Amino acid sequence: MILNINDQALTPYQSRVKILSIVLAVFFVVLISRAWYLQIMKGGYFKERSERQRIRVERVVSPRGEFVDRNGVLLGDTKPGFDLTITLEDVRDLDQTLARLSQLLGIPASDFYHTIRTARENGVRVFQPIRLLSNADWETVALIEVNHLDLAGVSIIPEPFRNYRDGDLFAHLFGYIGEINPAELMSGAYRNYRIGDVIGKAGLEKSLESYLKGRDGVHQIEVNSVGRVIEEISYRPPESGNRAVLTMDYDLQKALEDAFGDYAGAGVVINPNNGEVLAMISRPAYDPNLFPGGIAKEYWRQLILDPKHPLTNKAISGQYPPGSVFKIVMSIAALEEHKVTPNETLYCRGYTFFGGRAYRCWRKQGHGAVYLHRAIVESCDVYFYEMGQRLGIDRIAYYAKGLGLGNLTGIGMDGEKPGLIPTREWKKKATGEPWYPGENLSAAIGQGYVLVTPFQLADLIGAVANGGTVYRPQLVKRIENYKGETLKAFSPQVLSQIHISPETLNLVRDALEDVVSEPQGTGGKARINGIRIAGKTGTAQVIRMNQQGEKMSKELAEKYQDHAWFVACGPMEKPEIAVAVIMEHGGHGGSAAAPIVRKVMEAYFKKTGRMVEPPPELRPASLPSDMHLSQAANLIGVSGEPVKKR
Amino acid sequence: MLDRRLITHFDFGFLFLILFLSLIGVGAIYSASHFAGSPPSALYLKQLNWIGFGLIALLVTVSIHYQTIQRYAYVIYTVSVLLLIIVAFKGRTGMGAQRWIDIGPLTLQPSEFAKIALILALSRYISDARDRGIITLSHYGVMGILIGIPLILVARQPDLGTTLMLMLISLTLIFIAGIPIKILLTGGIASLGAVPFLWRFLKDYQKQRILVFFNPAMDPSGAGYHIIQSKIAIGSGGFLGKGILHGTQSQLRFIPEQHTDFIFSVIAEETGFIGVLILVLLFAYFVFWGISFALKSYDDFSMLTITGLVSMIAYYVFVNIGMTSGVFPVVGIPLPFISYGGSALITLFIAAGLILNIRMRRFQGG
Repeated sequence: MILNINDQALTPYQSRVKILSIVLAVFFVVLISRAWYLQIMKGGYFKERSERQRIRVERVVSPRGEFVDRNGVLLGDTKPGFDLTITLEDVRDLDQTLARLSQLLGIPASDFYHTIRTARENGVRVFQPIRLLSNADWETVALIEVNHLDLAGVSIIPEPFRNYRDGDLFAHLFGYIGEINPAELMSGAYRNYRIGDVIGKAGLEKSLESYLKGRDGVHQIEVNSVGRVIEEISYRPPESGNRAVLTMDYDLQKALEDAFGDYAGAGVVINPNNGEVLAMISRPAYDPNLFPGGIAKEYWRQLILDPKHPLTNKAISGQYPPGSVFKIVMSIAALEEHKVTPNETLYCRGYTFFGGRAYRCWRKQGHGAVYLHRAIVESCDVYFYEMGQRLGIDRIAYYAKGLGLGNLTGIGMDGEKPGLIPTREWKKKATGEPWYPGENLSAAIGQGYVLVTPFQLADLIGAVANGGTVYRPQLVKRIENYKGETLKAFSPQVLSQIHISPETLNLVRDALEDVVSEPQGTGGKARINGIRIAGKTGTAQVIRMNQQGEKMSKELAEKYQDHAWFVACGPMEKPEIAVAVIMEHGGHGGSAAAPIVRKVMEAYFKKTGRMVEPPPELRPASLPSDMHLSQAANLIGVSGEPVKKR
Repeated sequence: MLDRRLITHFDFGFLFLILFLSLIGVGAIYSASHFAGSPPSALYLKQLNWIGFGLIALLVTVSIHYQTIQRYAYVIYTVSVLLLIIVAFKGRTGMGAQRWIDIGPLTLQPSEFAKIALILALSRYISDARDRGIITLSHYGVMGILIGIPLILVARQPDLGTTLMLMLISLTLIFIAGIPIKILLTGGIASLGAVPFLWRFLKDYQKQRILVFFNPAMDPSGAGYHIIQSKIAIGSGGFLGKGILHGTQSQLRFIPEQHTDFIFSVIAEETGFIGVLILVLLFAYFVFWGISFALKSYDDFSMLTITGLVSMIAYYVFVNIGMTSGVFPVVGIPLPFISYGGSALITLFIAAGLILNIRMRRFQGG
């Protein structure tokens, strides 16, 4: 029937029709061959491709574990949030989609391109969602949902969002979180992580990452070509991260913050009997809530450029000369090494000469006859210059290091600085020059090469309180799972112990107590009625005094003002807390830093019920601080001998 | 008009083949418009309605003696060209092209009917010229004008697929008319010169589709997307297919235009190579059956008309399956009798009616 054309002679038309039918037959063969090629020869490949784009495995991010303080006060948790993501494979026209998105959200499209390019460079596949916006607000979510027809491939994904309840209060302790970067992925420390995952980048968020992370859920979904979910195939819910019970005390932290006001600096409160950190602050701070995902560029720039370094945790990373606080070390060293007896009297004229150079006492007119107790109470520089000469730097260094200075504290947070306690050997190595005897004098009053961190000074005063033990700082008491079961408990760890005889300890403690309680003491502003506190002021010089020894802080620009230290512990019957505070450019320790320490201690003693009556706001302290002392001396016409070279 | 002899000569087998293909189409449309989680779509029912209208159009076409149609061939051609002109000025715009015209409740696509009108006019002209003797160069010139007018009108809509169809049909008829190969080649080369001219008519998306055909990796998520997704659908069907209503590519809407131009992908995915083989063989059977009618026809007009119509349907099949399986650029041509769409289906039923008409009256020519 078909092509049955041989029974008659072909007309010219018919021969051409025959040619045509051959051509058509060839076409049909081509079609079948093509189907054979696609379906039989490459069927497996296409089958795999169709499977892959049909079923998508999406992770459901687990909520990070909570932070609570030692009393169970909730400090950090998560709240529900939404991420705006884009899946490139589902996008029909990227330019158009991003232009529309940009128009809807008022965000420049270039930001989106940048994010996408970065993600692609880091190996994000076309079928994996890329996070464009983190923690999108309701308005954004609504806008995207309403316009989803124009936005194929753009999705809103619910994601738990880190919520630090008190903003910047615990900023440096918690650190911050952010998306894992390629370097971190390659480091091997993050084995089960993928690009786009959020990790702890600093602070406890980083050091407790493995506990806080939790286990992501898996959502197997069937999607259509624009990435919209058709059906859920399987779902494994996420497991929340574990709760970290901190050693911190919310009330003390708050008291410390309130006392600091707008000043820059750092403060540390520890329990000297076990190394637990009760409060730790570094000012100015940042708001870690603004970090995860897309931290606003402007905010980041501001933080980076801020001359007060809000990103640095100054409590462990700020290195300052300890100033007169170092005299605690000097006293212990001199007594233990028998370089001085408690009763030996030296004469302070306001300066001393050594190697042809004048070394001044902070009190121009001098302290007159001083023995150890008075030298500590009135912070006489000349007395300790002599101790420096008698001890020599290496003996000084032995005690300083034994009391926790110049070493990492063992707190285990990134960015910690060791400070510096110089030795002869160190100087030779570092500068190639020998140690000059005159440098013993600078070191003796905590200047020169000596650098410490606020935390180290808390350890120092803690060691005075507990008799010579330095504990490893402990930030976390235990880790609990969501049922409240303890997974891991942390116990105190002794980092180092130095032998101090009871006599030495008593002498130094008595003197430090008088620093706070005596009228001539430099730390009068830390006094709390009814509670025995031991403390020491310190002033870390930012610039050297001029030749006349006159440096009127008020006339100097803030940035040239000295840093003010105050360290204290108490109650002295049986010390429970040790505090170190530095106020950058605060002036003199006694006037600026001591009141902060007092407020924190008051908060502690009120909480523990040892202080019942509210303390009077201002007490008339006859000579409350170094600076006031000298000013008072000037006022009553007592003038020191002018310093002259002989 | 319809006497008993006509009914005995009516080729019911051919009609059944057409209806069988159309019902395959209804099934494919049902599957292609059925989505998990959505209420059932009524598209397949609408297609059944169109088949009903198509059958009426077929019967009307059959009932008019083809020689009457031959007599009015130029009138039909003129009306068709006028409709194209109306569309050019007043037509409805859809998808960036002016192709549709509203007549009462109906939306017509005059370019569909232009194909049949052109076949009729060319067949009439060639057979007339042939009756008077040898076909001269000037005859080819007139044919060129007959072809050129609708071609330009369709090209500037722009309707890439129909333009291509008109060109292929015209070429076929001129070839059958016995044009010397030398002239054919000269004309072919000359028309290559018209390509840049034609290119200017095209919308950006059409240019993109053609460029992408030559380099699909150029834009895998944009214009290349259709081809890639369609190839995945066809290929993943394998030998036996994923089962009707179980094609993941189609059920999850990865295939664009899947109930119209890309319906072949749905069939290939769900019924596999076996299904494709059966479908292609059915079309081949239809085409060669039609060509056998042409060879046994009574006069030149009959032969030319049947050859034109049959080859038109064959080209539809090649271009459609070719574009869905990635051997031809995406030009927007439906799969005859299968794809959803009223105008195309009615045109095809009219074409089939004409073939049956001529076939039925093969012993009573004029």
